[in-house]
Amino acid sequence: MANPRQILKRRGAAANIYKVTATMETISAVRYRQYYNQWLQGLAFYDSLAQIGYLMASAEKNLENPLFKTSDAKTNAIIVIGSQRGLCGAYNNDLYKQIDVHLKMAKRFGRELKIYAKGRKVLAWLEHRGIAAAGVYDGFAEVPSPAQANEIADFFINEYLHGRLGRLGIVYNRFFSPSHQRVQTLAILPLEDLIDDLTTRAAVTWPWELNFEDFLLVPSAEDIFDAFARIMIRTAVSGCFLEAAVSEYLSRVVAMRNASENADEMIQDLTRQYNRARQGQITVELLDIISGVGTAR
Amino acid sequence: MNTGRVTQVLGSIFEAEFHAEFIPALYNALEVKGKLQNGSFEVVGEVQQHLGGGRIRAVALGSTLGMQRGMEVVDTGSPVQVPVGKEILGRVFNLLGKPVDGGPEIKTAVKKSIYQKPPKFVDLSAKSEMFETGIKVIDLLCPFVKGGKTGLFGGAGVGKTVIIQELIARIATQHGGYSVFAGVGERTREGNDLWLEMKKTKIHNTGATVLDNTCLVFGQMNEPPGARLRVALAALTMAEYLCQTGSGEILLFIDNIFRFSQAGSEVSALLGRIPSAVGYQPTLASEMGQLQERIASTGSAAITSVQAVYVPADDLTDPAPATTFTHLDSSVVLSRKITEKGIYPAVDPLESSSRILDVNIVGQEHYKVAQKVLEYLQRYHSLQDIIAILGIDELSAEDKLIVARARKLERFFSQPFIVTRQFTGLEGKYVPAGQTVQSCRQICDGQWDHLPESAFMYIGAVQEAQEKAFKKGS
Repeated sequence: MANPRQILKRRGAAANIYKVTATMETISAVRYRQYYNQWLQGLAFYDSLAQIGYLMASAEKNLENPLFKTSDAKTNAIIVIGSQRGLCGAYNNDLYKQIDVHLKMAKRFGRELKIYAKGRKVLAWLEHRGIAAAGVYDGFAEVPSPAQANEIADFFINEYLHGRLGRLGIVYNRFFSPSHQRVQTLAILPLEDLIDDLTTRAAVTWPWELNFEDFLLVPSAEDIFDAFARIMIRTAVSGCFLEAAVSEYLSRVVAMRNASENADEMIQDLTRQYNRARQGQITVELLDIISGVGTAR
Repeated sequence: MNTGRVTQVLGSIFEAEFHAEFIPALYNALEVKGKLQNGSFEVVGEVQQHLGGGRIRAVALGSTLGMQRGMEVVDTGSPVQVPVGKEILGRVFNLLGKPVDGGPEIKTAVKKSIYQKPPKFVDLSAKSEMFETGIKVIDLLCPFVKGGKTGLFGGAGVGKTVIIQELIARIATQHGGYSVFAGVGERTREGNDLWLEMKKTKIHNTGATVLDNTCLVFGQMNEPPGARLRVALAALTMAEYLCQTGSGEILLFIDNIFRFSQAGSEVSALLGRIPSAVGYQPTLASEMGQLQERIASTGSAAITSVQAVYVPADDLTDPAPATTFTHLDSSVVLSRKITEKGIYPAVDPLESSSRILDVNIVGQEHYKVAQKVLEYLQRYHSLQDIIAILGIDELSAEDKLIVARARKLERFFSQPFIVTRQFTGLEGKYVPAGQTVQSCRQICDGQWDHLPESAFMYIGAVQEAQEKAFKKGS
């Protein structure tokens, strides 16, 4: 039987944790709602992008664009989007596993892997593993402003165009629906992979009875597609950050709800233990007094 | 012959009246004899109190069933005497020194009073040497002391008796000297099992059986409190004499010392003493002291004792186990939490301790590894609440590693026993202390991080984990 004072102390600690986790749950729920709405509004735009992407990929006229072509550079890069803080369940852990997969793959294919990281947790893990991050994004909280996202995307586009980058992927927690999020790597470059992903994601049907060749294009198709390619990459980058944020807050809500439930259970358990210990102590003391009085009489 | 008459009987306590000038001395043995309708009545008692005049109060050392007022009480003139010497080896006695194994009465040259003085202060030996048991967790964290006292603490059903029997199987079969086993207030069946087992088991590469070098003394659950109160003293007297005249080294097993305190408390209440904390006798500490001080090692004679201590309601602060703690060199605490994980022996590494876990005695390497292991387990223990609430994912990478290794260590401390082979189907494993230290160091250093936790259950040295993991995997 434990000492009642120790039980009280443990119960106090559990109660404090409960307060923190319950508050965190509420806050995360609000943030989740905000990002979720933002994500929902973006969906229509992604669909349109997907349609254009589909159009580009299925054009009979062969469009030449350097971003479409596979590059033979020996360097691959991944952007890892993790969380700034903990208390979000397995959110970051699954990312680590995915990074491990990339490291192994890069080793097997003899590629150099550059890791660009977002989030303190990921950086801490990289440091623990003794891996230096090639770049760190700490200029924004969770979601970059459009200008910042463009800057990130343009950097990689330039690297790719200059042949210094073979492939680019974003490792993040993809938000499919409120009941389904999963860590995955979204291939961004070469662009063909990204279009594949976009078109499989959205239910794309070519809306018109028209073919690509029926359009009269000014400026030229190449110019338009070059601009679209850039927009796609930029959008994908900022979209990933947004989805990661939605997933993060959702998994934090879930983790905090579980934690609060666990803490609540523990508090109940400890209260029961405490009451029993206290009652035991009282009984012992009473017995001591009664038997003492009994024998002294 | 000094005789008196029974004047009152109160359960296992009786009062008698003698001539006021010839009252029997305290602790003298009294023989009560009388005729009943169908046979005769006979019991031995021990004087506990002088009540003034010729009246004395005594505790019966056997059943008082059939005792009547007016029966004759004879003062034997001395405390209870038990036969001592080599003749007692291989036999089973009760506390009066009477054989209970169905064999013939023992005739020894010497009989000794069960009350002996503890060795003198100056004669006590301060030697500190480790006594290897081959049980990993014990050797690493709470090593036994040669010629020292060890307690096995545990609540009901956590495996005290199994460990005592395992130690008998491990030590008594290797040990050259004699052993004495005292069964105090435990199950009668267990005493019988032990006796039969000892008859069968041969001592390591000699023709003799374990029983040939052992003497057993029983005052089990079926006996009245007086018998349970004095049986440990009777066994101790036999052990002391064997030790002084024989090999100089002796093993004394007592199962269970708590029953001694318990019997004392029953007697105390009947004697009319005011109960002390939790209803125990006010003389708890001095009674325990008188017994424990006699289990001592001097320059020429060493008694190594292992005592099982029942812990009522798993509460180590209960007065009976708490008073026992202070007398011991090494305490092995068995914990229910660990039995719940299916880990046997259920030694609680954080509660157990030993006086000789010291750089100068066990050596630098052993000490360092033991401290490291404790550090890991302590850290794991303090993280347990966080893991329970927030989940293991919230721990830092370093903490996760510590938790993983601590869990491996925890499982590594399980071990198959010789005496439990029929239950587990596993051969008993003897792991030398050096190997245990090496294994634990390797686990702490992360040499075995790649193996799953379950591979560490019920193995000997850590190398066996590899095999076990491989077998499971294939």
